[in-house]
Amino acid sequence: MDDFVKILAPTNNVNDTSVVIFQLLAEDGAEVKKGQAVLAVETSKATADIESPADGYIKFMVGIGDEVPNGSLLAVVAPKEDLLESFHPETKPDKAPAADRKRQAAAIQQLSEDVTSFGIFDQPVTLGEIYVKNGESTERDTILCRIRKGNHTETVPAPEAGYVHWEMEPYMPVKAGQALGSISGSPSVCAGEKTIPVRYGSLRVSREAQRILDDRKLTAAALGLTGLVTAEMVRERLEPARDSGKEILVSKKAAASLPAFHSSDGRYESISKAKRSEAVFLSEANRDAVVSQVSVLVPTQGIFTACAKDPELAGRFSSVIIFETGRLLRNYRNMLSFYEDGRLFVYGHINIGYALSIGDGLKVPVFRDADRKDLESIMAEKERFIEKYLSHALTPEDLGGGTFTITDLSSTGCYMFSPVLNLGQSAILGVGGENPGKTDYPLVLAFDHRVTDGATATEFLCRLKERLIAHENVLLGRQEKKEEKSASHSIIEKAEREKLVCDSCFRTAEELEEWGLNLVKTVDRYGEEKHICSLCLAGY
Amino acid sequence: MREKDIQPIIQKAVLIRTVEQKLLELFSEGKLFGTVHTCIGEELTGAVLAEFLTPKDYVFSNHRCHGHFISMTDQVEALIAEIMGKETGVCGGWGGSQHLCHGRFFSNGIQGGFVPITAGLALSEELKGTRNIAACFIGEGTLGEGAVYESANLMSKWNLPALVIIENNRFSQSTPQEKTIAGDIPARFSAFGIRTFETDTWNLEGLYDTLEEAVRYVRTGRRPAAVRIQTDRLMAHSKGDDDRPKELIESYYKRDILTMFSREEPEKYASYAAEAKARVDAAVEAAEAAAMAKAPEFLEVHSRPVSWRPLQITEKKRVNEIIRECFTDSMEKDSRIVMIGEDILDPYGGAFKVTKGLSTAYPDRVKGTSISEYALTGIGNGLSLGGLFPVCEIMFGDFMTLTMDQILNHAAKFPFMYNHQVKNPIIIRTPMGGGRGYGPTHSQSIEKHFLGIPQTLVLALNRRVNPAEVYRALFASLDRPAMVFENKTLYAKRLKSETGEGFTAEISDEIYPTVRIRPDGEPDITILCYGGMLDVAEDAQEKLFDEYDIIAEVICPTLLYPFHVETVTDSVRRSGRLLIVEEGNSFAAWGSEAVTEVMEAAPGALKAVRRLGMFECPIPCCGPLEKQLLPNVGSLIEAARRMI
Repeated sequence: MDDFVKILAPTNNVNDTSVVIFQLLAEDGAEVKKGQAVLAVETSKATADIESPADGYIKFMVGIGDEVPNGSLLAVVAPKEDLLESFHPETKPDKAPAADRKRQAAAIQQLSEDVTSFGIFDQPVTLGEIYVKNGESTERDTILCRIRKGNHTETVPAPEAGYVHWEMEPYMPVKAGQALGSISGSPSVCAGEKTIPVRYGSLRVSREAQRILDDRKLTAAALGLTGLVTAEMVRERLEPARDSGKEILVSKKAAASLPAFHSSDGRYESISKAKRSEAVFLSEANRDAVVSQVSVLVPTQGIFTACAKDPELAGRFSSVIIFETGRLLRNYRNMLSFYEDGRLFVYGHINIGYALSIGDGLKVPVFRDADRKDLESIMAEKERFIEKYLSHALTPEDLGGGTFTITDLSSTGCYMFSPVLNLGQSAILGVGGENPGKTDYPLVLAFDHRVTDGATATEFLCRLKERLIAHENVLLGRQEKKEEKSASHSIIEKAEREKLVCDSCFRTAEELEEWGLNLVKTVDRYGEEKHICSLCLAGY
Repeated sequence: MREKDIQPIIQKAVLIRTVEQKLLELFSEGKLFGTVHTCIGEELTGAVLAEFLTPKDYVFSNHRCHGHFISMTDQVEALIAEIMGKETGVCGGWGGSQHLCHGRFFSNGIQGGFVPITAGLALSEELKGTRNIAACFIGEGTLGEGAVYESANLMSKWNLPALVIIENNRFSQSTPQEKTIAGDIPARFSAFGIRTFETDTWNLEGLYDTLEEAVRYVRTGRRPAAVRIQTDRLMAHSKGDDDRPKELIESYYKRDILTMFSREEPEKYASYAAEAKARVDAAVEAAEAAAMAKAPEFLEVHSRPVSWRPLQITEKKRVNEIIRECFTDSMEKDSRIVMIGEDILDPYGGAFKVTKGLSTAYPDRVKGTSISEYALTGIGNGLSLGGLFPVCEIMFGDFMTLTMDQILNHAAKFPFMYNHQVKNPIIIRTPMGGGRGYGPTHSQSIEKHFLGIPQTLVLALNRRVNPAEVYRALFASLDRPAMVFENKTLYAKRLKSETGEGFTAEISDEIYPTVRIRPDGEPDITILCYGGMLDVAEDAQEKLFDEYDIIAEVICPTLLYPFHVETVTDSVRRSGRLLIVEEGNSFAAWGSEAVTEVMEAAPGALKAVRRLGMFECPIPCCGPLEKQLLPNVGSLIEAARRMI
């Protein structure tokens, strides 16, 4: 049996305990080379190619569409073709590749063999963001995750050094007395094998729960539910209420009056894991939020003119929106936060997720620190993301950590739509297509009214609109303006300029110069001296 | 009998009388606890018998045992200290007057109960292949006990070297013999084919010769014998409760050997009496100086935390086959193990075939008895005191009532009342439970009546704990009586380790493990059960989830008593609700105790409690009605739903 090299289902991110087989890239029994992509798997966040670890002949243990737990045996590679027949799939796959285990074991020395549970609370909590992934090592007191407990959130430090094994998934409600996870001395020792139950081994749905799910055409997995799934749990997911005592009565009644969608004319079809995951995150994000939206119309004339002048600009305008939004968001920290039990969680970074849906499902790659990147970098990064999207190469790192989202449907012919908030965010910007018969396009901002109000949202949109228009103007006159100096304002000397930034958009004077923009000295309504670039000045 | 044999016997009898008179004195002075039953007038029975016994012979005596005890052991000082409740007593002050133990001498205050124990002691010597015998003393009053006849039957049938001495003083406490004893006394024994002897204490030579012959017959002939000794009790049964006519008592003194000896040989008698008095006074003085009996150190801690591991069962055989194989294997390895029971011999091999093949493999150590549940349990107790490891099968659990006295008043008491001079491992195993239409007297689950007897274990087998592991643990470590209740529907089943999706079967790290069927989610309710009810509870657990959205955790201990509350508290703390299902009636039962234990161990954890048991009526034969009245999946679900 040693001759066989096993290919196991990988663990790509903390949220996934299983993968879906997306494609088999070789024929069963075919000869494969080491490093050759042999199958593609889909996780909730990305599609990943799995390469053959050795030269030989491959035998698949799974088929397209199968959903298998992480660590499952996907295929074996045998050095000789005739050996394939002798392989018995009952052979249990390892939990983690041996080499990986060794490397990690070497990284941490003298760890206790004991398994220590962490994150046991005497009241129900909700697990928030996870900072140390499953199987990763941690030091003592390193923050492992954030939880919501009653009216506030708090962090959970590691009780000791070791490897983290999560029992719960992020954004899952955790009952009192239940451990979030455990720390053990070995990455391969799953806590569940010792004292803590295996949490995700099973899925069983009660009859009533199944009825509700069927009515909504949902599956328990799509709601992120595992183990024994009761109707109450399903209702909690679907119709959260603040008073849990009342909630059951109300939701039971509500469930009883749900219209039945059953019909003999049609059938259930499974949906992709990514879509299921999306369903969970979106419904979680929107279940409590008081979503409101505002919109403004922006003339399209400038874009067309600019593109006519410089064909390179065509198709890049969305990068401009990301660029400008990033800068503008510095002044609107509320847009970079989310509401949680009477408080705001404000993100420290402006990471703009940009929704891509160009033929292979919705993916939201993230432009990290978008406010600190110049337009060229953003354009380049966007191109990379598109390439990766098309080649199924987006990684969990590309997709995680967004603090604000832009969804751009302008290329689809869609004119007006309602963007949906993402989990852990309170605002999303939608960009629509050109208003039919007119020369403008809408910017729609959906926001959580608990965090932002309509006036602020409108102000944000108006300022963005002004910047975009100004930008168009800049693009239009880029060449000409490069040499020009503004006559209406006193111009600051170059030496001084280099230290200055625009107090509105935070561009540096140097950057501004490259763009052919000027930094001008002005006084705001409080009498404070400010430097404003000519771009910002247009809407100041 | 030779002339030189007389003196030591008289001397011993004088010592006994001196001790007894001193005890009466101490009693009036309020220095004794309880009461004393003196054998003044009857001293010679023990004094003469002792002449023919060796320290390796067993003697089991009764409430009137001081004379026998001194005769056999000469432990005057330890006896007096014992009766005065002192830690220097022969049983550390625990046993007192009626419960003595020294070497191979025992006494107990229950009439008749030690006759089968004597048979068991005799059997143990037979199995060990010695020349030792076992003797017991009863009075004619005890002839009213059925135990005597159950035992006589088996003593004779099995050729046991047992000697039954009947001290016939013609009064059962206060009741004259003619008012309660019918027929002929020796004929009672000869009817079983037991050789009987007749003698009295008025003729020392006759007594001596008869007992010599009786002991020789038993020792060399390896057959039982019964000796009826006519004798006179000169004092009251106990203290001041003598309603007999004075003239009658006076007539007894006229034939009392010691009284006659004191007249015939006053100097010798005075010398013996003075010697005895000096010894007794010194003994009393020493005893008075000694400390009172000590409280035991209860070292067993029941509230040890439990840890769980996934249940894995590879055993594929049926439960009765597993037990049988375990017994076969254990008997091979441990020659102490003896099986006793009704209909357990081949070819039948027991009503549930658990012992099939054992009597063929170990003909000496598998004993098929008459229908004598009391005696066979008593014989088990005797084997256990004799150093063997008996396993008694009671054909149906319903018949356990007949064993109660042997368990409660004998087996459970021995280690403590004999101050831990003995260990008595004994397993009493029996099928319990209904579901087979056997009706009111062959279907019950009466475990509750056997719970809470201190120093005993009560176990119930279930479908998820390998019975071989339970029995092996018992054979390896048992030092006291254990009752093992085997639900009769289990025998034909195979062990089960798999569970429905969403549930995990786990087993505890206890010696006698608890099973937990843990849901993959937080439980709404904890269902506690044992034995055959595990299957019902698990079926209900599945249905409760599928159909009623109720997540239940099932906990099923193997050891019912002592109750290990830690196996339950963890679950109850999470669920807040405890539903106990047991097949017997639920009032004053295991469940009631479980609730109390949980409330004591986890105050405030319980917000709802329910006991579910058999309806308060006998179990009917009619199958469907039986199923309806016994706890079932439907009634369990109904009970659980009412709690949520």
